[in-house]
Amino acid sequence: MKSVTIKVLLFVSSLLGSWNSIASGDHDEHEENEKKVIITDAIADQSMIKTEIVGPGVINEQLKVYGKTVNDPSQVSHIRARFPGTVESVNVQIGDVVKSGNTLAHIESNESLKRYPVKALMSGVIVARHANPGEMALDQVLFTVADFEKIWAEFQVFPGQLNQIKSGQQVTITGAGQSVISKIEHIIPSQNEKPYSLARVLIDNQSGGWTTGLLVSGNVNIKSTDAALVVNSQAIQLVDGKPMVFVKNGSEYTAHAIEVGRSDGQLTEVLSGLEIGDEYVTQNSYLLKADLEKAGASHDH
Amino acid sequence: MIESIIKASIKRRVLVMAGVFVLIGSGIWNFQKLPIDAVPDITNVLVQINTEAPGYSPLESEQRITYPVETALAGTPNLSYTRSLSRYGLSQVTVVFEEGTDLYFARSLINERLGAIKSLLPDGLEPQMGPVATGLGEIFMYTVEAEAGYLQKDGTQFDATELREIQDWIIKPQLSLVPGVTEVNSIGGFNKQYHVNPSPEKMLSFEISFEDINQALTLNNANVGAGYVETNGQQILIRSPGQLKTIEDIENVVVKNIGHAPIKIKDIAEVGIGKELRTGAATQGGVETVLGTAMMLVGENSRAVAQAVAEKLEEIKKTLPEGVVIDSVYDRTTLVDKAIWTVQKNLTEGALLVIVILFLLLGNFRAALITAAVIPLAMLATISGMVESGVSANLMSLGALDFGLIVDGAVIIIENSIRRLAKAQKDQGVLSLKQRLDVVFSATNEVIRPSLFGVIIITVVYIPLFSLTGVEGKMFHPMASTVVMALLSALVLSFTFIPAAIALFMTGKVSEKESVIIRGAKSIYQPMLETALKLRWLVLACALILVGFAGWLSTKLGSEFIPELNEGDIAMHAMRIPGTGLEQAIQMQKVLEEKILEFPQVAKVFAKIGTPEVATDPMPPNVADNFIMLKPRDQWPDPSLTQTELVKQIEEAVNQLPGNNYEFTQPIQMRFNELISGVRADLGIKVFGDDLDQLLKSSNEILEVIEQIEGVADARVEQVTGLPMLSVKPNRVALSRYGINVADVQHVITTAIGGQNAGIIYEGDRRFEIKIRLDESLRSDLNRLSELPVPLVDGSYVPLSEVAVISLAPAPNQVSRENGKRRVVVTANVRERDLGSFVDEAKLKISTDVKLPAGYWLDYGGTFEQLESASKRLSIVVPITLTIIFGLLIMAFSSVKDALIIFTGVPLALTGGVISLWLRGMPFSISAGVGFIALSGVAVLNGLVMLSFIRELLKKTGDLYHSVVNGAMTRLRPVLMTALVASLGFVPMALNTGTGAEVQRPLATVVIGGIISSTVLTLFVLPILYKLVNRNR
Repeated sequence: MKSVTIKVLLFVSSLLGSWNSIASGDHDEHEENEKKVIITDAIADQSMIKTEIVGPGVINEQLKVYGKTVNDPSQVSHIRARFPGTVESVNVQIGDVVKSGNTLAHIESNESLKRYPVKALMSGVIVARHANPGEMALDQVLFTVADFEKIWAEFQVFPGQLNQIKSGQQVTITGAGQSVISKIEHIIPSQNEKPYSLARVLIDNQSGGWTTGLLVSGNVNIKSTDAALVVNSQAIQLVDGKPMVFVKNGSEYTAHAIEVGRSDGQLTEVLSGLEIGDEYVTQNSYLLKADLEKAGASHDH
Repeated sequence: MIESIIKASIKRRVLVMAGVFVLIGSGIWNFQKLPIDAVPDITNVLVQINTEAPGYSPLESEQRITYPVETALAGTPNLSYTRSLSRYGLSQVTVVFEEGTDLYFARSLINERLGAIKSLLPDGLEPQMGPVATGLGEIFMYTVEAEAGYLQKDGTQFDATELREIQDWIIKPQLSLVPGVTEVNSIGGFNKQYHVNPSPEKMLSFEISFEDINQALTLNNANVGAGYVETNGQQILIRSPGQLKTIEDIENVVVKNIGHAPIKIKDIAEVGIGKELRTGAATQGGVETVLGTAMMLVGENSRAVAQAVAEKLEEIKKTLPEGVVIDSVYDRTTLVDKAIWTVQKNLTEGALLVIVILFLLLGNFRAALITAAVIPLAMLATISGMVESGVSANLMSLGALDFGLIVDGAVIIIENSIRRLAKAQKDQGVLSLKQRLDVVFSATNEVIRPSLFGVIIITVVYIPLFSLTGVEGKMFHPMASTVVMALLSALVLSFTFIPAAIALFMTGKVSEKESVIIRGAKSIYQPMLETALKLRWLVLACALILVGFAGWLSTKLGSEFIPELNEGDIAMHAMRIPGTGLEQAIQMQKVLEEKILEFPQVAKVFAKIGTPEVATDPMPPNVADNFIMLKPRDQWPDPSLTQTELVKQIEEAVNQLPGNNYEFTQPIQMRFNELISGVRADLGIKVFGDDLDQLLKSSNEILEVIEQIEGVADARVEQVTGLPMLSVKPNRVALSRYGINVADVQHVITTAIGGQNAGIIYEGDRRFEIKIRLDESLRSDLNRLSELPVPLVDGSYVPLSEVAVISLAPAPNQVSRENGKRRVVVTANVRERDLGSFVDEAKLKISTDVKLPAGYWLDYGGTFEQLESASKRLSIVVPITLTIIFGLLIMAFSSVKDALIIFTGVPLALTGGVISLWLRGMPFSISAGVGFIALSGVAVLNGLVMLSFIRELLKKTGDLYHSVVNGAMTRLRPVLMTALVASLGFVPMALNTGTGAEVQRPLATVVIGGIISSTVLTLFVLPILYKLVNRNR
């Protein structure tokens, strides 16, 4: 009786075992089938399937921000009369370039009735003039001298972007049909309780092409990473919701699931799933995905 | 009554002849009006309601449009069912009405209902009814192309936008005027649009929103009329033109003033001719093209309309800009002509064979001619009848005409008249007119009863066909009515024209040489009959065994609805995964078409991708209808290659190309399948329910089951999911912080990506939309989408990513509904196996292996439906008809016994039909069924002729044995003749390989096989049975 039971048990277990092995065998084959597409080179050529070799590369991540150009507060001088008096003469017009020490006007003091000069304390351009001969100079601003050789771009950095933006990052500033490369000097919270911060970038404006109050956009180089493995971003296709790259081996194209690192839109870092020297499909990788999923649609279920 | 008619016909024979000429005249006149087509139009009374909803995703268009439309239609009188499809940017509801509903009535009902729900639909969406056309409506397709080396007036190359403009504004308006054309549908190229592409930076810097631009454009683009003034008796109209005309005009529209400086459109935006966000494209030979389809109005003559379209296109060609050509790629005339040629060839050859046989067997040339004259006369009468009853000439309606059958009645009369005339001449020398007329009268009268009954019976057997409804009804009603008309006119001719003609023309010496064949046959037949009479039990047993064998064999035959008409062209669906873009699809199409063109048999290949302007055939961009037009067979390297084989080769070749799945069918067949059941395959298993995921799960289970069944091909689940969708989900808390609403964000996205209408530019009759939309380089870069600035009230901005969550996920690709319920279809075609048994097996396996949750159910559709419903109906009506025949026989003989004897002819006749089908490897189809019907008629007719004569003899002589033998011997000739003409008349049909022959082949095969067996029966078994039954008298 006992031996019979044992035999039955053995038989059942062997059955189970063989069933398991069949099932797993099936499974492996299934996996293989699922990830492989075979296309002859001639057809691949016709279909314009292009490949590249996996290698190291530099990934330049960028972020676009918008802002305005403003004057440097240190580069604006509002000149008033030291003693109240009558303006006797004015030497400059709006737009005149003045040097530090140049006399801008003469005023006769009410108290001493002496004539004294009003001088520019910094070099720059006269941007405002509120003085004419004969007028009284009380405590109003007579001249505003501004230096536009250096102006600032203040970019709005929203909370979601703040962790990526740091001082020292390179920015390409574009506006009014020109662009210039500079660096983020510092990041300050915005005034008036606005929800964003300001990233301030100095623009060297010796050419005078930039003005203040201009809306500018900035491409911030957030990070430049030397990646050990990069692929062309158009090579990556989502298969079953996972990013995959097709590796060519003769006429066999195998889908490799990859772990994606950083990306700058052109190149994407691959953390795992590929090896240096792998030949992978860049252009028309969609065809391979299409072929894979088409097979899946009709045979996979 | 008949007697007096015969008498009158003989007496007033010249008058009868005059009547015949009237018949000829009216026949020829009617022939000019006869609509000619390849196949009968089998589409049901249906109306498509299309609602274009630009930008709507499938779920939205189901919820916002399809559902209200479907609900509104519920309860429409004569409604059969509705089905619907909700896709990206489109909602299509197909309303099918009961058979016989007037289409225009149906359309006005729908119109009324749609009017009532207009307020329930989202603003700006307008449901429209599809063209007044049926599945057969796409009769002509052409492409508009630019020849190499020609430039436009402004020196640039013709591109897809210009070609489309030519199609829409030069070709289409002219073509729409062709009588019988109801719609000219365009696909491919781009609708010309004026695009205003603002730069987000500039908009921000000037604090201008999309709305500002839109407003500026709308408020500065109108002409107004201001009435008139009368000055010095003169009336002067006043108008103020303010419409924008050119790109420059648009550029100079002022959007805003800052300080005193006007900000113009050109300060903030690029203006140019842009491309619409199209839903469909067309290619030919691997190159993108513009494809026009002329659709025929319901009930028109497709051949005539297609020809008129072709002629009109020739005229239009002259009006096109130099270098632009129209290439007609599909012309229904070709198919119709080929099919009609096949029918014509069959009929002519059949008629010739019949005449030859008549001459050989009658041995009298004049008599043969008179009989043969019945053929064209009956045909002309039939044509008049067809025109009167609105039946078109096509493969089906003319497919069952057998001149052999038609002249059967006439043959019997002629044969007897000649025999009697010859006998009388032998006895009395040359006959006087009176004598001759008397002989003709009595000879006719002698056989008129059996021949009348015979023909009536053959007619009656076609009656079951009239009981078919739906698609099968539309297919076979014309066939039945044509045959019945032909038979009836032949019948009338046989007792009017025939006696009159004999009386008129069979003057002088009537030579009735028993032809060699008949003499030979008689010399063989007599001993054989005598032997058979001796070995009667053996013969009867053999017959019984044969019937039993055939009965068994018939269960082994497969079944199909009707054999497929070989249209001579191939339609191939190329299917890609959902979410494949149009441009990508065009790329794939290029490679595919180049591959197909490598075949030397292929003349042209063109394709429609996605949905045309009028969504008569809505497809997503990932599906392309490829039309492969083949060269005439004689230009093939191997003309004997079958089309199936060629399709196989093409399939093999294109399967190498990555990313495509294929389905092969034919242009007309494709539209039929689709329109009839909404399913493009032989079998469609519909799963109904609510939850899309559950529907998909159950469908996949079903797919798994049917994939195991032998004979399955192209099995797949409807692509309902897998459309990649980028959702921009507004973050309400963040929005409130910046003081804007969800709608503001959505507005920015729709305008930036989809574009916003901002008026129309008129160029004469032509009108083009102005669209505000971001530049292609900005809108197509998904990475940049998160940086899209959303303007705030105070003039500042916030990036989109700050106020919305952007995520990419697959979403439903389409939502199909039927009768107001969601459904997913599993389709399968059947190859190398008959449809009927496949469906039975599939049903059984699914019911045992697939468990559906509560609230979910299955329905089976596809072409097999027709087979099933036809079989069901026939299984009721055929027995009834047989009973009627039996009743007629009893009437004819006033004897149940004799009627029964004749009736035994039916099973033996069917035996031959079954065996011949089996020998040719054909499955049972409704066409073959019609063959069996015809066969029972012929079998009865033969028996009738034979038996009535034996009976007469028996009555005269009272000697049973000699009556049987002599009667049989005398009737050998007419029996052989009717059998031979009936079967030979079908021989060309059975052997023809031309276009459309496959539809007629089973019918002809059955009749030929059956007549052979039935003749043998009539000649041997019938006399035996008669003798057995009457031995006790």
